[in-house]
Amino acid sequence: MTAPNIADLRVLLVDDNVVVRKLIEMQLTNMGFANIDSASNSNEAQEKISVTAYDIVFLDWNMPGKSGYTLMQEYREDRQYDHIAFVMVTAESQERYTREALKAGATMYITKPIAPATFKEKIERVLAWIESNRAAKTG
Amino acid sequence: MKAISPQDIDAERAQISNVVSEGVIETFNSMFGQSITAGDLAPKPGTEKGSVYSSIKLHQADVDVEFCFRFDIGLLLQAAALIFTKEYLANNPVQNDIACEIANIVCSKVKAYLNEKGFDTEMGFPFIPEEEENPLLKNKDQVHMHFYYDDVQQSRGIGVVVNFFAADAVKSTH
Repeated sequence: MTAPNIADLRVLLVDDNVVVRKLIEMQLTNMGFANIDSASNSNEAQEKISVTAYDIVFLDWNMPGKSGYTLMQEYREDRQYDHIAFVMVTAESQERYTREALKAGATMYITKPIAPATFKEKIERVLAWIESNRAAKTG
Repeated sequence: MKAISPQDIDAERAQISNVVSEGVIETFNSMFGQSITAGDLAPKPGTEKGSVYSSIKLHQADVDVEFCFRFDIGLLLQAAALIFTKEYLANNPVQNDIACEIANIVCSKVKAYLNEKGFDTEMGFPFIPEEEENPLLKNKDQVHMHFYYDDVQQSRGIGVVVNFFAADAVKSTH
């Protein structure tokens, strides 16, 4: 397997709060990510996903309008989006939410406030998921 | 799951205060690397001007548990300057976004605590309260929690005040 080149990965941050988007963007940039887009709601995210093949999509669970959780469920029902690693970001710290998100198809679950060390460790696991997912597809 | 009542919130007041206190301190530290501490000294009268308020409600059946946060503008400007450029902030004030996100994170922790105690609540979205319905300005029955930070004069300024109370949900609009 070949590890994905971080700088080549396309990332979409979806959160209604600009501060949260910026904080995640800063941490991703520190890790070497270079292609980072953002959206402030699910509709905007859907428009962007329809024209760009993102590798990782960060979704705020609770947003006004369609929630990030619902949006992820919709994409997980469509196999053409199997390649996307969905990272649920939420302040909900209860274990049952983690289980629910992973069961619904989330690749990773990150609880706010986001501690940099934890964030890096979780993103490394997402990169491993992308690597194994690509390997499985190329057979 | 148990039905929640204002009396339950009164009984849990000290424990909820601890959850809020730890949550406020941890959130500022994790998100912005800012060190704030809890204390007892109340803000001086008249210092409300320039403050930023955010509010959030936990809800179950007929009861709302409302949390109100008051942030010193200096604390929020410090936080904003750590992650945004001056040029961005000149055209895009983010104080309300920070205030709402802190309330969101802290109250999620309270929600988790109440859940552990058997009280299942729904949490609304954080919002900026209108002045006429702001409990922190109307002197409702309150338990204030105060948090300090190093302000621009390097003196310990009051950065955050938090209040919460339970009430009948009939008048709820959020």
